[in-house]
Amino acid sequence: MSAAVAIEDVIKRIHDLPSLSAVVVELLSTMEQEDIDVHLLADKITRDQALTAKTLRLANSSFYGMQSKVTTIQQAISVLGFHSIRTLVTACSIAGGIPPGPGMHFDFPGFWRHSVATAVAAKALATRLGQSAETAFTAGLLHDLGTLVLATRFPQQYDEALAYRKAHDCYVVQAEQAIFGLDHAAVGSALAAYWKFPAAMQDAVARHHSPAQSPTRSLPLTIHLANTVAHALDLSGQEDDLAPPVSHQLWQTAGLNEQAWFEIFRETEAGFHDMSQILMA
Amino acid sequence: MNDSGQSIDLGAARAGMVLACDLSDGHGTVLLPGGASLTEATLASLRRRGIETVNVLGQAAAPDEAALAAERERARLRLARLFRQSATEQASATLLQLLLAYRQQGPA
Repeated sequence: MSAAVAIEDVIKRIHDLPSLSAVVVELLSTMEQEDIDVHLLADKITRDQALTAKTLRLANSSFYGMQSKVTTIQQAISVLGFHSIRTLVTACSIAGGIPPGPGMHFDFPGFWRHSVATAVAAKALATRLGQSAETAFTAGLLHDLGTLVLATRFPQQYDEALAYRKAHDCYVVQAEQAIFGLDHAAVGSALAAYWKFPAAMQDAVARHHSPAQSPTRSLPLTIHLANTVAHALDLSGQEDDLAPPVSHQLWQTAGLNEQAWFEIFRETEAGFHDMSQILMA
Repeated sequence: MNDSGQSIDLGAARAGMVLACDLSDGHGTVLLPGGASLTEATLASLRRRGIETVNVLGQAAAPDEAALAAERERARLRLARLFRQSATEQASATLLQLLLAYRQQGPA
């Protein structure tokens, strides 16, 4: 069994990753703002070739069934709306920021299935908890980024962690703690800081397994519940998946009734189906 | 059994029913091909797209009770497996009960 990995080593590896494009950082930071200049942001997307290509690819995805080809950012915005564009473009950019290496056993499609499921669950929860659906969706999609850092930068140890998880039938967090001495939430937190995520999103990534036991409905609470719902609805496609525990106090803080939960389950299942088609096309 | 299928309200459609022919939206875009089995996810997706009726195969329109019971039992066992570590926690137990009810009830 390998020795624990120091968080300083992890941070060093994180700093080897490319910085996030300035436009993406700006798109992220404007999610919580009411008065944004859509034209200015659209103009910035246009100046970034990679982002423009991503946006047009998404707008032309067969999911939207457009009759004619979308060829400009302005068209894409009028078709999908600025908020959808911002969410999808930032998500794709960040997801592409941690490329897999050769010969890795890590299940990347499974990882993204769970991330998309958590994102749509977070969106469904946020609209009922008085939060921004867009921020929640993005935070949900990115909540396990730390896993991607560990799996791609420390592939051997990560294989050991997965073997440990299987042998002990425990949660991934426990297996990571056993092998690395730290878990993906701590690593994700360091990455979110390096990539200058908005504070609430950094918090959600850092604390999705252990949100503060506070009576206020925070983004970490939403992501904590969304993560559990995504596992519990069996959307990860893993036979030996585990629904993580939910703390009683956090459940009380959410304060959702049966009807609300049923709607959340339905929206999550339907949204997962749709988003999988868009993002994984 | 009627091979040409029967048109039913989307609200009466259930997961497991089989489409008798291609299902298109108002623009003629095929959303689901004939022969496809409906799932909870596709039903919810069709509801949001404003689809009102679907044409399903006659036999599947009335799924037999034994098949439904087997499906419910499968869903129950799967949930028990997913919650094998957390079902004793109070809130997790509540969530599990909600999901059991959700799986038994099907779409409202």
